[in-house]
Amino acid sequence: MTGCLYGRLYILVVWLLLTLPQLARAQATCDARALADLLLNTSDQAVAAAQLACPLPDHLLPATSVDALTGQGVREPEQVRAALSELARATREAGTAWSAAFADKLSEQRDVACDQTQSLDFTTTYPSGDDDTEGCDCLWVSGRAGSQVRTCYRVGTTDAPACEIAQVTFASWPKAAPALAAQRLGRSGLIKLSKSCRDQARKVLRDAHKAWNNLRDNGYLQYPWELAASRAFKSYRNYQDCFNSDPACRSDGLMPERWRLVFFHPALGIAFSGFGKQGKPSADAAAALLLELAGFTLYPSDFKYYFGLSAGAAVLGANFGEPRVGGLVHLTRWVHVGYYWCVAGEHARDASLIASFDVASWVGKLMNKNFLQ
Amino acid sequence: MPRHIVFLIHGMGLQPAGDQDREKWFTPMVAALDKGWKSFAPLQALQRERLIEYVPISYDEVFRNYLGKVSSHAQALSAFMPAGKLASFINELGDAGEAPDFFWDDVFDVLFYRYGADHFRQLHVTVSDQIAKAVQERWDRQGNADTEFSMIAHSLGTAVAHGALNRLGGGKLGTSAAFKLGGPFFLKTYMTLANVSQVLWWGEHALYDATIVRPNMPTRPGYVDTFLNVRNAADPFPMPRRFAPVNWGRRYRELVVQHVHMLNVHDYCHYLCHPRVTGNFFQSLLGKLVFPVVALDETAQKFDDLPPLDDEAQRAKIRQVVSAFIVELRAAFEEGQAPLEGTVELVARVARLAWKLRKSVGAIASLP
Repeated sequence: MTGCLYGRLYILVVWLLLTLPQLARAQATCDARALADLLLNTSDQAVAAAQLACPLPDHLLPATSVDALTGQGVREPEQVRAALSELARATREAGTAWSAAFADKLSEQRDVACDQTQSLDFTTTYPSGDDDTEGCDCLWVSGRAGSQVRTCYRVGTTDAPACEIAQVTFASWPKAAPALAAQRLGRSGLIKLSKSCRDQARKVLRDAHKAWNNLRDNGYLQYPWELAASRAFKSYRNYQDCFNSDPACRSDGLMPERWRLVFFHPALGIAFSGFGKQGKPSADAAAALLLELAGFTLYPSDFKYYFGLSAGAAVLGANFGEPRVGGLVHLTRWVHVGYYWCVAGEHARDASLIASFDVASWVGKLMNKNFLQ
Repeated sequence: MPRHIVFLIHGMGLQPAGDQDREKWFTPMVAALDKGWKSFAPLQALQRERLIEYVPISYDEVFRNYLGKVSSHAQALSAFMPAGKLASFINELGDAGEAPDFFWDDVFDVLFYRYGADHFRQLHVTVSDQIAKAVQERWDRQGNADTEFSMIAHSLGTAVAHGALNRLGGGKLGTSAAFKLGGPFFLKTYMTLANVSQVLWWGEHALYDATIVRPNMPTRPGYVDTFLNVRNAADPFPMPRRFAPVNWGRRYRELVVQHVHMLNVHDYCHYLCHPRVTGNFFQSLLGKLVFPVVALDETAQKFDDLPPLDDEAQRAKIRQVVSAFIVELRAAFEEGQAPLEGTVELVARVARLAWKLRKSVGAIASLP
């Protein structure tokens, strides 16, 4: 009998020795300061998740829900939504001012679509020994879906003026610990849930990136002075598209402008003369130096090709005594064809058909002829 | 997985993207940060790799690709161009980006961003896309909200990042508000080195009113939790229109350092060699419980603003020249001067200052 009693006492002592440090640790981590410290210093997600659950015991929030909110990998949206509902219910049952507000926000944001802010917008200000949240010991600042209204939840009884806007006050950091844990769980779940929204955002950025790459690879080069001159147009000066938290903004400020300026643009071509009123067209060609004085190019939304028109001047074979004036048509990146009248010199009134090197070499290949020979 | 992802954004100039780590632009930056980490007693026991991951963000290829295209077109033109002034101008364009050149490699980056029509958007998209990709990968892989994001931007990178963050958080991307201000994404700490955002700002309203890249305050939301603005008093680049917002609260901090260990005080590694710079950054990430103020002060107080030279006379000379330089800088752009109105006035003042200081620079030319 005595042996049995000693045996039980022995088991009790061993059990106490084993569990007391854990209980003490659990108690310590239920303090928001210690909890924040722990989160900061561990990269072990399992430990962090377990500690997060600390102020919300199993009978309030089942371990499966905690796992659905914080566990590794992407979960089914329905699974996460159910866990968020559990979290909202659990915090509401805590029956405090913060928990009711938190549960309301969580329920509201759980079902919002991508075109609203899909997150429980709680910016945690860790109690780091820093007294600088505008002089207010503020646990977090929160917003509601689609709006920027924020609420400061202060801790303690500081009288700092910035704390006057605080609507909820926690008496101490240990009292605030469940709120901190709950908001981190909520945020974690909502970040999981908003994966599709992030995918959509990335697609928009990737498409914009692709458009810029197409403009670079397939577009008509604009020299630095053409870019500088483009700033004369208002749309090019619109630097602040979507900068000021614009609710109406969708894809502005990302894509290149579709109408682009041609201005004092030097180019090369191959000229075929004798295309004037009484001239005799010739297959003999000369290199032509073109200067497109002014014009434009227009791109489709994917920027894979372009059309354009410009007016300008040209000289053939570096003969500056016989300048020509006319226009150039750009059809996709491959075809650039122009018609230029000679306005002075021996060939005045003659006209030339000028094609880009690309076109000339393509026609030359078809005809098995090199025009510049 | 590290809890803090820190984006590193470079400034103007060639940024090598070599095949091996030692050839990449961000390698010296990470090395300087790691050296700083090891200099603080409380951090020596912590593994940086477990807490912080550095993610480089590059936009240099936008400039290089453009210059490459201009150069190839100009080279084709110059072959047919008769000799003359026009030909030499076209030849000059043909050399763009071909050989190391301060104008094409450095100055042009700034001009392209400021005057390159709508190409500022290309830079914003390039930076935003890399940020969004990194966020998506971390949050999807990690599956929780534990990962936090911060940024260190340098010089031109401060202006580009400022614009990119404004667009990323200012409006929706298509129909998605995943990165919009007020959502789950924000920067825990945004540290700018030689901030030129104000110099390169050309929006319709004042930068400080228009931007969302400001500390989050109960009265006004911001995209940043803590904003650290670092400036070397002897660095001329941010001086013409110094980034100096007022009433941004205590989570905006300006940190002015005055060390001169290299001739190029604008270099990011020169900034990061000062323990006040790295210390304040790490402290804002980890908090003062983990990294107390006393520990930061202890290391920072041992730091010498002047280079470790045996010749005391030379040290005194450097001190004197740098002090005079700082006085001239302030006189040119701050004390008793009207705010800069335009680019012409800016260029005029810079030229005047350069002429005045041409001898001083010679006196410290022995620095590395």
